[in-house]
Amino acid sequence: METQIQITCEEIPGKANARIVRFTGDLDATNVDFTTEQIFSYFGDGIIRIIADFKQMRYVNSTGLGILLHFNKSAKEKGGCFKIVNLNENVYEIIEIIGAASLLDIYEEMSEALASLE
Amino acid sequence: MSVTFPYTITIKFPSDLTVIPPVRKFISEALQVSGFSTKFAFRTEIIVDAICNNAIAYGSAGNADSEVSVSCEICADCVEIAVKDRGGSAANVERLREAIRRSRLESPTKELEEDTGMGLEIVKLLSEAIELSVDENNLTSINVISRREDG
Repeated sequence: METQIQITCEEIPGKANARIVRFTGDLDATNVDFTTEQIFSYFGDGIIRIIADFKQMRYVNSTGLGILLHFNKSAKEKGGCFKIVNLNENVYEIIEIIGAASLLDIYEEMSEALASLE
Repeated sequence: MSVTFPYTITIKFPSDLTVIPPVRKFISEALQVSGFSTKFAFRTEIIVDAICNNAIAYGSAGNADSEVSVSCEICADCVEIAVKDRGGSAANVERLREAIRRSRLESPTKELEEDTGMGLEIVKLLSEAIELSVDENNLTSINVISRREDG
């Protein structure tokens, strides 16, 4: 009965060690372990610049917000980044309310996030 | 669809984290069907999720016979949520009480990363009132009132 989440990864032409990682579904306590394993497997493969596309991500709870901050911190410690794009307004509101918007690297458009990788 | 307020949804389920997603989604969808905005329904889903997670994590986790009860009274202008479970130790109840008593986030990054009571902090920010009670039979109850602002 676990919440469904799908994570897919695609290369970004001309951007070394960078990938677009697309999330689909809900991120919550039932799948944070799976999500963490996936993201850290990318880090382990040397992919330290990640653009997380949340266009198909409907829901993120407090546990999910916690691991997003953890990914952000871990990527920076490795000299990379964890950028989030296409957040829906409900999730963004929760991030803002708890004061975490300034702690995460959030972009409205994919083009902006890609340009920031330069 | 015509809805007569107030009405109450009560759901009892085993103390298992994997059951929370369908429970919270059901309540969220009931609110939308009842004319509440998707924003309010989403906020309520976050509240139900956080309280149920706490009930299991601080209360009945590991006890195969335990169950959690979620009662949601849906009124025209507000929602009253009560989450009850049995089995929390005195120490865990005190941790819960302290998390509710804290007035503000001291370190959102640290608390989110460590997932220490952050769910309840979000509940406090999203709701009008939150209360914890424990009866003589060790039944722990968290009651939350959330008032609709814009529909």
